[in-house]
Formats: sequence, C-alpha cells, structure tokens
Amino acid sequence: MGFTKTAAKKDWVLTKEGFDRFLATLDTDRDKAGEKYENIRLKLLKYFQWCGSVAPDIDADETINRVTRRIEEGANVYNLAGYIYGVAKLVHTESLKRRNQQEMESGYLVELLSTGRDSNAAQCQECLKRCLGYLSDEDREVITEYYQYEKFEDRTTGRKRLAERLGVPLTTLRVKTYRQRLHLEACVGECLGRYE
Amino acid sequence: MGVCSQAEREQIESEYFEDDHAFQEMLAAENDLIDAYARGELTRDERRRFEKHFLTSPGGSDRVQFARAFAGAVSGDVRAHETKLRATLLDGFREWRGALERAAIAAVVVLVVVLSWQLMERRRMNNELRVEYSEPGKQIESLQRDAERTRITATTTDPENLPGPSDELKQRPTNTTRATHLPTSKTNNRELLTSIGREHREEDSPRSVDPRLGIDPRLRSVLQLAVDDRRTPSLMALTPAWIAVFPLRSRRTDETTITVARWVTAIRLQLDPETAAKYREYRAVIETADRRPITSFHWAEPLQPNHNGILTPPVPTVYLSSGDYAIFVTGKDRDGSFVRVAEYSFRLVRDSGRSKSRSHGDTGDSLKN
Repeated sequence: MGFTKTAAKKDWVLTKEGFDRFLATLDTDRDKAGEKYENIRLKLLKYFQWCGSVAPDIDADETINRVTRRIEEGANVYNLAGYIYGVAKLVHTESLKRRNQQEMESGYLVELLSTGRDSNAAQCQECLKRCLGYLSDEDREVITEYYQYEKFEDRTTGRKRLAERLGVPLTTLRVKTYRQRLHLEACVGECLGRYE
Repeated sequence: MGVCSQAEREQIESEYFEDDHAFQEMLAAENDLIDAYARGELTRDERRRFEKHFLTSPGGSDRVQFARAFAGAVSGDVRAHETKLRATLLDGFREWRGALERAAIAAVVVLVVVLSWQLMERRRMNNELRVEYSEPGKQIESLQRDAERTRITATTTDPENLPGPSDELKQRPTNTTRATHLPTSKTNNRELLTSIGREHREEDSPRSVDPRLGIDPRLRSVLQLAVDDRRTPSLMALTPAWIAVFPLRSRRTDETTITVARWVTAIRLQLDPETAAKYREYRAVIETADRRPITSFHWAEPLQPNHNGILTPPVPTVYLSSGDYAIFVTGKDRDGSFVRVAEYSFRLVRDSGRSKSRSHGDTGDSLKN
C-alpha cells in the first residue's frame, strides 16, 4: 500500500463531525465503533511505548487526528488498520527527528516521569492485598495460580494445566488474566495515590 | 528490547495492528517479560536492554514495582509459608497463656535494658559536658589562687628571698622585673583570664553550626554537639534521622562532588533552576550516569516571594551508592503538563569515616534535621 505523506496541517482541528465520520468507518454501530476506537488507541499507545516514544499518548492522538483528517477529506481507506499503522510510523519518525533536534535530556526527562511517585514497596504490597480482595474467589484463585510459578518451565506447564482444568484454550486464559492484571494495576495505582 | 531487525519488527507490528488476537499475545508477552525482570530471571544483557527500553517508558517503573509486589503475593513460597504460619499460629493459640507470659517477661526485660542504656548514655553525656565546660573555670580558679598567693608572698616576704628571675628577665632592671613577672594588678588578672578562656574556646569547643542556616536556636545547641565527632555516635543513637542538604549549581559532574557521611540517612538537593518560572508542583528523577533510573518523586512547592531555589524532598541514602548521578526536574504548568525546569549532574561519594557531609565547589556544608 502506498501512502501519500500525511503531515499535520496547522489549520486543521478535529471536529465532532470528523470524529463521527471516523467512528462510522470503524463500525456502523456506534457502541461497537467506540470499542474499536479504544482498541486502536491502545494499540497505538503500546506501539509508541514499545518504540521508545517520550510521549506515546500525544503521538497516538496525533496519529488518530491525521487519519481522521484524511477520512474527512474524502480519502478511501480500504485497510484501515494498515493505514493507521503506516501513519503511526510516520508520526514516530517525525517525533524522533524532533527529539534529536531538541536536547536529549529534556525529552528523556519527560518520558521518565510516569506517575512521579516514589512508592514505598510496603505500601504497594498493602494496596495489592486490598485489591486482590476485591476480586471474586474464583478470579483470585485463577490469577494467583496463573502467575505463581517462578521458573519458566513450571510456568508454561502450570498454565497449560490450569487452562485444561478450566476447559478454556490457553490463549483465552492468557487474555483473561491479562485483563484482570490490568485492573489490579489500576487499582493499586489508585490506592497508592491515596498515600500521597 | 531492541533485539529484532527492522523487518522483523515491522512484521510483528503490522500483524498486531491488524489482528486483535496477536495484539493480546503481545500484551501478555509484555507482562511475562516484566515478571521475568522483577523475579531476576533475565540475563545481564537482557536486563540492561530491558532497563534501557522499558524502564524509561512512562509507567514502566510503576509496572515493574507492581510486578515485584505481585510476584511476592502469588508465589508458591509465600503460600506455603502462610500455610505453615497458620499451623504454627493454631499451635500457639492452644498454648497462648504460656506464650503470652513469656512474651510479657521478654518485653519487660528489653524495656529495662533499653532504659538503663538510655540513662547511662545520658549520664555519660552530661559528664562529658560538665567536664568540657568546667575546665576553663578550674584553670581560672587555679590561676587566681596562684596570683593571690604570689601577691601575698610579694608583700610579706623579704625581697632577697624571692625566687630569682629567669635568665631572660635578668637582662631587665630589677624594679621593673618584679612588676612584669608577677601578676599583681587586676588588669593583668583580667587579661590572663580572658586569654585563657579564648584559648579554651578555640581549641576545645565544637565548631559552630553556621547561623546562616536559620536553624531554630533551641535546636542549635543539639546540632553544635553533633558537629563534634566525639559526640556524634552518642547523639546518633538518640536522633531518628539525619538529613543533609546539598546545593547543586552545575551540570558538570566533575564540578560538583557530594560527600555523604555514613550516618546521613537522607539527602535533600537544593537546586538553582535555570528558568525564572515558578511552579507549585515538581517532579524529579535521579538516574545513574548510564541512564539507569534510581528513584523518582514529586512534591508540592509553596510559592514564596523572593524564593528562587528548589529544595527536593529527602532522598534516602540507601538508594545512592558512590558514583555519578544526574537529576532531572520538571514543573507542572497551568495546563497540567510538565515542563523541563532544571537538570544537574553530580558525583556522590559515600564517606566511610566520621567526617561531616560536605559538597565541594559551592557554598560549603549544610546540616539540617
């Protein structure tokens, strides 16, 4: 697929109509379109994080803005996911160039500061215990067993056994426990914020 | 982790952008990688790559901290330990009376020992102080007695029987020799006493805590004693924490060296920001020379007129071994974003001796509690 360069035009702003048109491209059902939009944004976030971007959220939004603008301008996009990926690569390249022109330390400074918390390990443990308590017994048992193994070999066989016992494919189990872990991380993060 | 080639990387990225299932696999793999790092399962090279590529990303260090806590919470060893502990507790509960009694006796013994030790230490310190400040008094009294005795002797004894002047004094006329040799006047007494007192203060008193620090005078007396190395170990036993403040001015590591004494439990860095802007909230990260983050923190800074410096919160010295470091500071702008404020480099040296903490190249020592 060839791309015409989708550069940021300074006079373009994201409007409600433009965003609605983008959502409509994802799915005719608005709720489903919203879910797909969140999924795309998460992919972009992770893509930029894994590329080492200093501001992955800004880059992700910039990518979506550009794609939305192209759609609004009437471009026919046949493979939306592929198109988004292409725009994301472009945004990342431009971002790298900009960063190289600025001082490396400034960009590094921004990317280093996540929550800025110097959280105490004991507080983290306390919050995690509390958050695990919010899970149902079954979920807690599953996630505990899924992550308990210390050695890689034990982990692989243990997870397979767990999936068999639950009667689900290993990939399904992996996705489910990943989502539960995300919830736990968010819960712990919120709990740690109360200590500040 | 930066291991794949560009083509491999694009292949994987294209795949997970198009296939949600592949994306979920990537996310799960990311978790496994974080867990492996948290449990120490990565090789040295893998660890270095992970720290370079992942820990520097927003939220990376938080996720690692969570992974460590999570590993501790779900590991088999922990569960086995809990089971064992439960059994022990049940046994203990059956014999709870005996255990309580033993615990109570042990607690009383410990309390008595601690109190006794505290009393002994306090008595020893008081004795030291008493000796310290009574020395000049004793010398002065002794001189006064000598002076009095000599004066009486000079007025009642036959001058021929007085001890002869020294060889040096023999050079001088006899009538003036006696006047200079013997402290007969009150003025001479006062001068002698003053000079002795001054000598004592200069030689034996602790060095002063710099009044420019603005320390509460009630605390200053305690700090005065702490500055003297002879008293520091005793006072350290009574004082919960010692925090040293170091000013940073330069971006060059070789220009700022911080020497931290072994008994300093935390340091605060006084920064002179490169911009005139003032912020209510700051974030800072300290990292090693090879870009490994050590710790990060944020704090609120009350805006004060004519106040240009930034003082970081205490950073525990357990995080900081000897080496080169850099600190990056950002301030929270009105729109909520964080903007660069300052960055500094410094060399930190952990002093194993009993010297005071000091920083070179700047305004000298600071010691604050």
